[in-house]
Amino acid sequence: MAEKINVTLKVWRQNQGEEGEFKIYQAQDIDTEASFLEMMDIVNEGLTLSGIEPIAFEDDCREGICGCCGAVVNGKTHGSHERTTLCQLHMRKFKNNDQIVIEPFRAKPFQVLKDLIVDRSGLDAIICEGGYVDVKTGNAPEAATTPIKRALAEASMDAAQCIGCGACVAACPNGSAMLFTAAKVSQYALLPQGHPERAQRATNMVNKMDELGFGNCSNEYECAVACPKGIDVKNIARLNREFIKASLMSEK
Amino acid sequence: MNVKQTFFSSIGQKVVLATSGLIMFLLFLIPHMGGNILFLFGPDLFNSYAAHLHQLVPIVIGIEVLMLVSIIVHMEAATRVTLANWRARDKRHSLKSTPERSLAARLMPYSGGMIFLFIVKHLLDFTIAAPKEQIYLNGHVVNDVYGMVYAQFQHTGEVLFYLLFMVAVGFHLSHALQSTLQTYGLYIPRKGSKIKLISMLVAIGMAGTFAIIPIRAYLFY
Amino acid sequence: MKLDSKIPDGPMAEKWTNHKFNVKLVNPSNKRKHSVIVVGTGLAGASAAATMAELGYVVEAFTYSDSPRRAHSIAAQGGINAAKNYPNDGDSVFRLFHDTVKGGDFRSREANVYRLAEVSNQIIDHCVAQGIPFAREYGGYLDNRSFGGAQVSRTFYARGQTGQQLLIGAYGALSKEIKKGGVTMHVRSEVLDVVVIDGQARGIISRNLVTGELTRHVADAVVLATGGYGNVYFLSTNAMACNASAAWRAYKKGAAFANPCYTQIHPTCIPMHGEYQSKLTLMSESLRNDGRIWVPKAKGDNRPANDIPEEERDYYLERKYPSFGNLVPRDLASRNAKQVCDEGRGVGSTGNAVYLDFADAIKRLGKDVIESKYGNLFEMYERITDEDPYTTPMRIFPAVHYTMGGLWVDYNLMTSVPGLYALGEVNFSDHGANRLGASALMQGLADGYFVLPNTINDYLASAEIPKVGTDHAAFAEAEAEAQGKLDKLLAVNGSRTVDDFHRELGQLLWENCGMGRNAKALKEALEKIPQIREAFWKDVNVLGSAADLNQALEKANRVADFMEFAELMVKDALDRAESCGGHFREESQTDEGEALRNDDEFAYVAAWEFQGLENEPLLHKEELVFEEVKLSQRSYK
Repeated sequence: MAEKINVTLKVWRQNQGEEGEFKIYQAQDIDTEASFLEMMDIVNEGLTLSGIEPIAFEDDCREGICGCCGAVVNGKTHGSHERTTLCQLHMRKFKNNDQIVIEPFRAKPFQVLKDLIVDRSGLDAIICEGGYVDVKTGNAPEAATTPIKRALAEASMDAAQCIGCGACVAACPNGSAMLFTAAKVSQYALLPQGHPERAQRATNMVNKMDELGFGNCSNEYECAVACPKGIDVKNIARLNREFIKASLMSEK
Repeated sequence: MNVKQTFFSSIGQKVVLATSGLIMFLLFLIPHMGGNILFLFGPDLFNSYAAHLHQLVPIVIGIEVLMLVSIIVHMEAATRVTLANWRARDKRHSLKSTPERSLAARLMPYSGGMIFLFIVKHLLDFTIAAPKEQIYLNGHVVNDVYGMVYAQFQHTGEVLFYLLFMVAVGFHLSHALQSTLQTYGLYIPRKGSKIKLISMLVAIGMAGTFAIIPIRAYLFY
Repeated sequence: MKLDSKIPDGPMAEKWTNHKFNVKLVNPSNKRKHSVIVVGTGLAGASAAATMAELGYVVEAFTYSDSPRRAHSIAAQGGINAAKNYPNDGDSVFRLFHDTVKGGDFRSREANVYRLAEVSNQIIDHCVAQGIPFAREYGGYLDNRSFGGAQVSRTFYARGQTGQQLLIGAYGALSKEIKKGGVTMHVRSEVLDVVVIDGQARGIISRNLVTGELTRHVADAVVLATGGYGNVYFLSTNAMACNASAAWRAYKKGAAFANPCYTQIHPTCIPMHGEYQSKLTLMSESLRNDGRIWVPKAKGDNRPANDIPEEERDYYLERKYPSFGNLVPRDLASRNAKQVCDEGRGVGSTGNAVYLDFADAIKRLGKDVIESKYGNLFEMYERITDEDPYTTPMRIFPAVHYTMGGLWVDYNLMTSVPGLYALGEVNFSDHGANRLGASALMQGLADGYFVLPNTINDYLASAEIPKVGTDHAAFAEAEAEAQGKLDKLLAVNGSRTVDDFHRELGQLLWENCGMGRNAKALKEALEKIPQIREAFWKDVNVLGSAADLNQALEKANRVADFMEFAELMVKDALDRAESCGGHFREESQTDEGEALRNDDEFAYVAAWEFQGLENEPLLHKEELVFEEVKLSQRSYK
């Protein structure tokens, strides 16, 4: 049932082009039914009225699907609730007088733009290298032409659920984007529509990932724990296979 | 095959790392362990094994060269991977929870470095330094490798040093074995994986077996 | 202004084909000489930008998000309709067209709706070719489900994440064109104004949300795909940043705004829980297939749901609509929920909720079946409310979800400003006064992939489009005005936050222009809105600078537009003294309390023309002619 709690926030504040630091704020009388971001809204309203610029953080749908939100809360990407984005984390997960440490997703390619907002454009750049099927509008044959085994369609959907939030990168001890890249490569590797480009897709996307300064996968699976959509590391294994196969084959 | 991509991309260099590691594991570590087990059966058998090895010099040299190449390649790739990983993490979270990360995985660069130091010392101890004694065995004069090993492990410091490195070998292998397979594209699930378990058991078994010689030599002189 | 809908001649089924033949084409080698700006990268924007780049046009695309993939199309759960008739249950292009016109309560343009139904099949073909993992049967063929009370199964879906998968497909197509150089992508760029030169849309003023820099962009045509205005209510199922600003600026630059009073209130949302509530979360309509809706018979009965015996429960939808029961259309389900809550029979801590109970379905089908159908929705509900819907009934309440009104467009999707196009939810054209489930995704993609790329050529090939640069006075003027507004917002330095004002406006609209509307309440709202707006400009508090990443400033700038837009919406609601679809005027109902249309007086599109803020907007009426679907009163008894 709903109750009110007080918590102390230790939040990373950083302006563009400056070094950041942690600041301490109090969040008073927070309804435990409120979501984490609603708690942040309340704190921001208070800060604004006392003349302090509100904490910048990214969010949009607040339904856990757009992938905008995300911060490291008490050491965990998206907070402590498994398979949940930050916007779906609720204050009932906290106790009265808790201290909550909030910091941005960190990795070399995720530079802080302001406070908790980081630049995740690297993920888009990876997609640009082949995270699609190169089909022009109008090219398509009748949809029922190619039956696809249900299990493959489901496995493809499992991978396709990625929301591109970047939690996997932030959680990875090496700042690697392997789970993100693997999810996209897998989605298409599992479907016949993706096959003509599978070799160059795996190669180009991995090369882009390297070029942007994401780290290497050391098979430690922190990414899979952090993923709010439960994307599995089997996709990384699949990416490895796709990449190795592509490297060994001379025809692209 | 695109050489640059195959060997220098993030997945490529991990394949190199995995393959060079696997070569050392299969062609060197396992036979070496087999030889070590003979130590338990007394000086004659062990010295005879050592003597036979000497007769197989061309093969042994071949394997040694392969080992040397593997070590260099492995270390070079490992250094590159590790530095890239550190670079990708230029700023760290002040609080970080890593529920899935094993200690073995975390320590890979360090256990790897220790193993390298160990190999250097091990070569100095037993390969470069010639055995002091020679004995008769089945009518031949052979080096008393058994005695040399025994003598080596009379110093507590030496034994502890070797044991410490066996722990490093154990840690290194327990992550390396399963990680190699995942790098090759084999699916190893997060929870309840038999491969992870086997990998751990093999690592403990090997480290334990290697540890037998110093322990036995020290305790049962 | 004279509205010309440009509906092609000929039989309904041949209009689109004929039209494509009759419009002027741009020679392939000339396409690269034409540039197009696309604002918004949701389903409609991303698909339009990608397709036009494939054709060879030079495209610049803009989104205020950090990536095109964040657009709120992503949150659509249920599915996308198409007239494939794979289940062999009697569906056809004509039936989809017919259902959509009727579902829209006869307030949409027949020709546009027919075209929508016609291209619906191509959309599915294209999306499958894009590698979208639609649900499939064991035989490997595409699965369909029935949705939103349709009598055929024509909805294609990808679990509860159809919008996500379709958007990622369109985003993939966009990424492909970005890579090939056909599209220049501007992320974190918010459009602050549309630039009109000599009566033609020629560009935009955009603000870089990281640096605060204003930039000018010129093109031969401007396409707005900026979504709906549901956030005017503050609480809605829309994403936090959804806004009406681009459409509103277009309106102020001369584009007519059509039917702003048509808003859809979705019946199955998670109820409000407190004052600090920031948004409402939709639970898929599919839940009504198995859940039973009820409230206690007695007022103020606050026993826990499971303690209320069967005979003291009122399954009011089943009681009032025996043949459709819990599956009545969205507007009816919503209005009835409000009614029982107004009677004091609502449940939960606020009294503004009704139960959606799965106990019977679990008893009949087993928990496993229910879990496989709705598991992800139940989990989402549990996350938000901390209640287990398997054991206690869900609590739901209606919430603002979709806006059928929008910029007026002709058959080519061009607004009343030449060269300015509107696609997807931001236009008014296809859903009339009520949108059917699984039709929004269909419309967004139809507009973007198939319609605009085949109509924009007519304008580009035939219009006189003189060369202008961004140094043109109109750009300088628009930029100065945009900058002036930002500076003004920062200079107020008052005592209330932006959200505070937004909440006040939203509450007023929800009370006075929500599910039930009447002349008295609407007039009251018309008096109060200017007061709130005035107070906003006197007392809002926005900190920081315009030359920085400043989220409060972004929000304030959007809310300032809502403050103006709200007035037009209420005006339109007052003017339309009939009930139709989502617009329920309490004065116009049947004896049984159902919505009563007045076709003699109101079978038109209300298109409003801006006359300056201090003047009344001018109403233009586009008469709606129904040739194929007979006008009839909806009945779900």
